[in-house]
Amino acid sequence: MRGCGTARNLLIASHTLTVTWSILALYAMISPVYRVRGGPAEATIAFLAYSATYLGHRINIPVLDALAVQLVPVLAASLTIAMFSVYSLLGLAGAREPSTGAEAAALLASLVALASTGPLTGADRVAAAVAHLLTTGTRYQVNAGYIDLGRAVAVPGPAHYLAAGLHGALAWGAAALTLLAIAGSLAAEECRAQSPTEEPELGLGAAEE
Amino acid sequence: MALSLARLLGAPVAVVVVAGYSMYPTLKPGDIVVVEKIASPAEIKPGMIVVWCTGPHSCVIHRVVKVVDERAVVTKGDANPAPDPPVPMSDVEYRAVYVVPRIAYLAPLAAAVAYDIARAARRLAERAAELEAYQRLVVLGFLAYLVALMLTPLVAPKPATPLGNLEALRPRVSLVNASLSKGVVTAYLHAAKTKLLDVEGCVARAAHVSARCAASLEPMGKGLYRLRAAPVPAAEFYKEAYLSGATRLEVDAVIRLSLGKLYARVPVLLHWEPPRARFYPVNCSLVVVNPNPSPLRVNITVIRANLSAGPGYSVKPLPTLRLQASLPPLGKTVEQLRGAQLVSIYISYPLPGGKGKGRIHAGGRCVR
Repeated sequence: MRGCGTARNLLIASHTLTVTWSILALYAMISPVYRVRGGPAEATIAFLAYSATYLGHRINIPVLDALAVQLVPVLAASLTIAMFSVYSLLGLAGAREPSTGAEAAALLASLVALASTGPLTGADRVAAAVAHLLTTGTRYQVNAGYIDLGRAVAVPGPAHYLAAGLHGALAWGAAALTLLAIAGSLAAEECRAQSPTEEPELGLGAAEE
Repeated sequence: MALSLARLLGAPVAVVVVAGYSMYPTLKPGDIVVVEKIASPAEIKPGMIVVWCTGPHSCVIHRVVKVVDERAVVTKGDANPAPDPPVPMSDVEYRAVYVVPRIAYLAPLAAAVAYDIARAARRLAERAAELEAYQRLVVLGFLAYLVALMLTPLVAPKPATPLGNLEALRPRVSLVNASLSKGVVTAYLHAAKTKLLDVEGCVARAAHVSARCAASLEPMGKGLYRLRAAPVPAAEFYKEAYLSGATRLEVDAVIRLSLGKLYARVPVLLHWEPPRARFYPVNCSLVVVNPNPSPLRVNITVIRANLSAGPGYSVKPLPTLRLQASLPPLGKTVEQLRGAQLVSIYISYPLPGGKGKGRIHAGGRCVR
């Protein structure tokens, strides 16, 4: 049946995108977004962890500690939707028509991806602000004149480039995901209407024929 | 807003909503104060809570602590440590007559909101029962995620400063003392959390005159360092500085630290002293000393005379000697003045900055 095939393909596309989103979001959270080099500071900043020294002393950056805690739900959500989507994809791969569980997972995943875009973009800006703060204030007045501790530079890490592109694309991608999932859901309903004898099951995988 | 409108209309009564903690605990933020217009300044007494305004929309509600000559009042917030500056009597417009505590209207408002939320929740629960299981999963899963996103900022640590106290780790260098002696600037620098390694460059400046300087740095222990710097060429620099009348000398030195550089500025005062002259009767000589690090050209006028014996002494003038001498920096010149028994010496020298000429005097009787 054409409707069922379309629904299945849309849901596969939707889940593939959410899995990709999850992997990229996890990568953006655990890999360095900024590296600060030169001058008094040496720092490697990721959203969930960081390592920083200032004038040879290991330092705590309270704002990054707070950021890591605030991103725990996003981390948990990324892992969860990655697992749900992979499980749904596995189910969809062996079936001709999608289950309601797969639709629910697609819709939930896309909504979570949409909602997570804000915190991730915010986290990127916080990390950028911290990196900027570490590179500034290296020249300051003292009683005998002024001290220049050297020029520090913040080099964006690969995760930043990924995240910068990811976040812009993800806002749209996640919206597209939602639309895909809804379209998939409608197509699945159409599919079920055309084959009333087949009862969809409430699971995350696909309904077996 | 209500007060602004009342003031505009000249209403005898108005209401004010308290916005800050300056009158705490008498007035709390959110309390509503009913105020009435003050008819005459004589009504204002210490202890009264009044409203005074500095603009159409900026008013302050504070307690009167003092009335100054019936022209101004001094007010103070109950929780403020210091009183406000005196306010002209004409700016004091209203006095508080009644306070409606915030609890009186916030509690019913909160109860009404809570009732509405409870009603909405009940309706949602009724609707939720009609949803399919997978729809419930989506709704509840997404709601749980949103709640988690909202709650995590509450459990996350609240940073007092974004980067912690980096200030405490920074090196500090202070200038303990600086002096100028014999054309050499000596400065003592105290370094904390760093070491001063060497001097990379040095420039001396006095008014518009500047020159490179030779500098050295010696560690004195316990974070103390001695910086010595002298302009190169010193005579030329100080000559120009003397002619320009500079009274301040600055040494700018770039000192390499264990991390980074110190751009040190050492200011010292330039004291130009007049030359000193001393006459030595035994060998009839004049010594003129230049105490300054700049060379000095002086004109020496020697009025000479001999004494002739007879019934009493008589003075026989001799031709006046006019000499010119160039005194080296911090050096001296010796002039032999033999050939006369009595000498009176006048030495004129240019004042710093070309401001005329100074004169010193010496003289005496030569001993043969």
